[in-house]
Amino acid sequence: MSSTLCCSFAKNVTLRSSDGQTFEVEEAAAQVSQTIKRMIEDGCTGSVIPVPNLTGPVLALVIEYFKKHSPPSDGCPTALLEMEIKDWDAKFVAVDNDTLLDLTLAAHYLEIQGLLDLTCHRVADILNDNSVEKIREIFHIKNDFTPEEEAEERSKIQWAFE
Amino acid sequence: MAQAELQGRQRKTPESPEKYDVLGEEMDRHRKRRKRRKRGREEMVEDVEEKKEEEEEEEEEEEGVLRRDPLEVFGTDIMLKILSNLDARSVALSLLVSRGWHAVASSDRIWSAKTRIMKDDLCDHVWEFHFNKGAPEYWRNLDPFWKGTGPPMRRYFHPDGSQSADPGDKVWGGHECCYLTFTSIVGEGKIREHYVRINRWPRLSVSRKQDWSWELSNHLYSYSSIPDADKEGGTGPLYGVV
Repeated sequence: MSSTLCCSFAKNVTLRSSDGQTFEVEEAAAQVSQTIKRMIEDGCTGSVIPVPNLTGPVLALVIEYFKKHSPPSDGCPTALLEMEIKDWDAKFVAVDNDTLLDLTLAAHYLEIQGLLDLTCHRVADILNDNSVEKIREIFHIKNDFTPEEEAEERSKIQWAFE
Repeated sequence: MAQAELQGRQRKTPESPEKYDVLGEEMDRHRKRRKRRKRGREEMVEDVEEKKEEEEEEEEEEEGVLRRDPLEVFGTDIMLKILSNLDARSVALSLLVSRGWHAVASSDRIWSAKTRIMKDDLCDHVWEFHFNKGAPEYWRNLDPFWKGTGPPMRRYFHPDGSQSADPGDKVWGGHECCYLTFTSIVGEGKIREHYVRINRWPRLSVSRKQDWSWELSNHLYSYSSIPDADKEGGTGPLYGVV
């Protein structure tokens, strides 16, 4: 890992969101995204890397994530640092559901495995903590079962109800 | 700069209540809404922390307005990833959310993992043990399950890979007992072979009963997990078996 640290100054890249906002970020940090990493490696990036699937506010959040998760400049991450990052992660995804869905999509599109795992767990927590009716309500999902179908499905999984 | 112009244009973009399928449109809708929320705010980039706090404050008033179905937004692959984080009970409940959710939540990719028994599942439960019809009469004659002479025998699996019985168990020979779980997986998480084996004795096939408790059995004997309704993280059914 230390072999990548030969440069005394950090190289920056510029990312541009779908709505034309630009963000400057260290190249090493941006490479937390496998998609961006490949773009940089393939040399198909001009002065600005377009990120057309993310809006400015979502990209701004993702860049916060990049910064927190970029490889540490002073060698191995310590246990303390890892714990701090874990705490930070938990706070990072404690957002409204809408932002959570956007972050999940962004993580998928940009191939940020850590962030995708994080957001998927967060969505799973929401599903775990709520009843079927509440889940429909939270995500505005239309129940398209007929009452008969629903009753039948319910009876099949009687064990899941207390 | 051009950003202000873009914002101005976006504010004028007409709203559409239609369903969005395409990722880009989905994002677009989000952006417009975000812009409305931040009307009059110039700086959107700096100080994300502050922005997040503000969003949390706004969450209350957003209730019931901004909701999107994760399945429609994510598609099947991400949904499967999310559902595979859930315990069996929550996956089962997701079956009832809608037809679309039912299709995803009934996928083998999730359930084959849930019907796969792990060491923790073995150790989490107390197991009732009895011989099956195929066992020699000698053994059945020692089994309270067959003779009606008392409660079923119990077996305990331990994290160190050993197994034990209650004191006074007539079948238990005081011998050393070790178990293993075996799973072979062929692509896509599909399970080809899965069994539990104790010592060198015939392998036990693994199944879930109607009430979601575990059963391990072969032609000679059966193990049934005793429900752990009150146990945190227990994998048995959530109510007692009558």
